[in-house]
Amino acid sequence: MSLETYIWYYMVAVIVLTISYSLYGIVTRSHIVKKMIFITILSDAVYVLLVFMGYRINASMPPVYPGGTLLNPNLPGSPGDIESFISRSVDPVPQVLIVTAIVIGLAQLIFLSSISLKIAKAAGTLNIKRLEVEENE
Amino acid sequence: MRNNYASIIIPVILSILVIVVLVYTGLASYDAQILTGLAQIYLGNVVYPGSPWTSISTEVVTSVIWDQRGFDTYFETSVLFLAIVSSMLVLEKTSIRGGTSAKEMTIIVRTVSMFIVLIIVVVSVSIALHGHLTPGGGFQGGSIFVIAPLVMLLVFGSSVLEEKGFTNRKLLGARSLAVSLIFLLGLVPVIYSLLGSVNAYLFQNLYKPGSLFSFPAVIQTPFGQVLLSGVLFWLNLFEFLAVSTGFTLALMYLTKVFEGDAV
Repeated sequence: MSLETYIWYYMVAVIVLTISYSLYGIVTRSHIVKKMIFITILSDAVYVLLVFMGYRINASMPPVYPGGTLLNPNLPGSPGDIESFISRSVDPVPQVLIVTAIVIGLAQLIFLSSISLKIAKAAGTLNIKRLEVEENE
Repeated sequence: MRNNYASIIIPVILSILVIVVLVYTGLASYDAQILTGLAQIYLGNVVYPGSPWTSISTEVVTSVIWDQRGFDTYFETSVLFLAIVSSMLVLEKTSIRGGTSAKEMTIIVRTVSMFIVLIIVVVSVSIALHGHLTPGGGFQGGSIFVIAPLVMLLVFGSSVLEEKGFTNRKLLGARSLAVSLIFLLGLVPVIYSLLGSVNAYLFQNLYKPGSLFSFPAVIQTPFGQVLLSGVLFWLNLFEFLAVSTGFTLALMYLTKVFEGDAV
């Protein structure tokens, strides 16, 4: 195996370790803000892993046909141009998935933070264990 | 100590399992050569003007988001709208006692952040308007734009946006207007087909097999030909408006509540 292959699998391992550690954190931490931080780390690591899945060894460009401007668009003229574009571009499908997922993740984060502000106002704490104790009393 | 060992061992075991699955199914292998069939269809048809499924746009991701799966993206925009409206509902008449009061930062920070805010706004608008030509689009431009009001709220205090005329009502109005305009643009082909005798589909962009309806892909202006890729340019613009105003509104609410004012 070449050096590039080692670096590739090292990166994949780091991302997957980040994902599993943030999953572990979501389950074990008892503070709501810490849970939210772990959720953000989890979603960002999943996005990076999805971009990794779209990579190919012979790809050299994003899924954008090169050289276009607003006034001088450079569109492919022949099927040969398209053949070389397909052979050099990375997979666009994971990127399409991620673009909307990032914005939905942001909306989810804002909703979570407003709910936790409300909980902090009502109960005076964001620690789930203390919230449970207050319920039992 | 037991908890410390568990915090290392459990994630490592979990990630070893995930890596085994990833490598076994070939999803994360380094020497992948071939694209999936779906990716080949997208890359081959969307950019090429001679194809029946073309979007006449050089950006595959934006074309797929708005042209090939416009429904999906419209409802994702609605989810975003609902999330922001519901967080406003939750935060209504809330204030945190003892929050830090709004104070302006020093002259150094204020001067530097004025430049940075200007640059952020220009870059985000450019990314949104070139969404059908270069990497970017409405979602990305809007998400970048939100940094500008966030910096202003932190540096100049929580009332700066209202002093400049960006009130809650105006922002919510712009947000609702943008979502409605996206839906109306999707409805235009249907209305057109009801008026005339032309086949057209909901959220249609350019000519499709079995339909003669098309938005103009290239328009003539005094400066020359401008590529709009049909409806992609306008949808990116409205999506930029929707995302930027929506998140600005949510950030304003959160900052105010955190600083101790009732919303």
